[in-house]
Amino acid sequence: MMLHNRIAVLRSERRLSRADLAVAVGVNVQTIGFLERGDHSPSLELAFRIAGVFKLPIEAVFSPEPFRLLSEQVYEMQRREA
Amino acid sequence: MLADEPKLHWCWIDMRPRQRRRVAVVFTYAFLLIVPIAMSDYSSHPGWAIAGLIAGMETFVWLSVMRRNGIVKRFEPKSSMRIKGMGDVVFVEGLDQWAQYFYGAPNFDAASPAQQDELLSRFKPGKRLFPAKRAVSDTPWLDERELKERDSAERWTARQVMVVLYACAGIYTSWAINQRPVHPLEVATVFVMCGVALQTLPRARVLWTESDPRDMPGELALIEQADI
Repeated sequence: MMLHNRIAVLRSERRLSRADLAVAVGVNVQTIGFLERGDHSPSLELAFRIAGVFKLPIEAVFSPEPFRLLSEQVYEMQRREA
Repeated sequence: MLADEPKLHWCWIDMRPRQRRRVAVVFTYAFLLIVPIAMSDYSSHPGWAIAGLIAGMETFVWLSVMRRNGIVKRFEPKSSMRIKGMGDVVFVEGLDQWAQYFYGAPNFDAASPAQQDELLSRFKPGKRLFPAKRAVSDTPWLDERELKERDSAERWTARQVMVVLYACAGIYTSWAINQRPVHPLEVATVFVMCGVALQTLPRARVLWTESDPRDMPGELALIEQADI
């Protein structure tokens, strides 16, 4: 099953390089590239470790369905609050 | 499964683009097929002929992109060595390996500032022997993706070699039917080529299939280039 993820977005947001994230989760730096491109679905253990680095629940980082654009979600949230 | 970025060069050629790796694989195998044809001198001593063939092919593999621990990472961790009276020992050389040995950090830069200070005060240049059991290593040699890729490459290689062996069995059987004589060195050459294929095909598959490590998913490449 293809697992969608927001790793690249979250990494850019936190100004983390692939190498930094790879060191933090204990994988090869190229594996982060594979995950970001959706070429590799992580094990449950690795998925939890990645979510832990971003301090987010696992469902905020990985999803079996494609994610909606973050900008779209933020805009909707702000509109609801206003 | 590819080595770290600084090692992704062969003869000063940047091997990160997949296309270049594919061209290198094609040329390597073209040459590896030419070597046995060029060296098939059945008039010389059979022992020398096969020894020369093995030496020639192994030397070429060692010089090529498919060299062990070259562009493609070693498939197994570096094993320790047993020395009488010292037990299992490992060679540790350079600051990066010292950081790996003492703190389990992937390299010197990844160690904490306190660890870096301590390492710099203890560091001695040159190759040093340390007991293997004291090594701190949190990061496995191959991560889950690499293990999967290695296993898949080895399974694929076994299938290809099996097909070649079946094909050879068919060819030799047809020769036997037609009463065409088979020189024993021809059979020995096939075995040597299967040996070379068993060691190079898994690496060739990695070189062929793995994408450019710099590739980014879609528009995120733009964000990365913007360096925000």
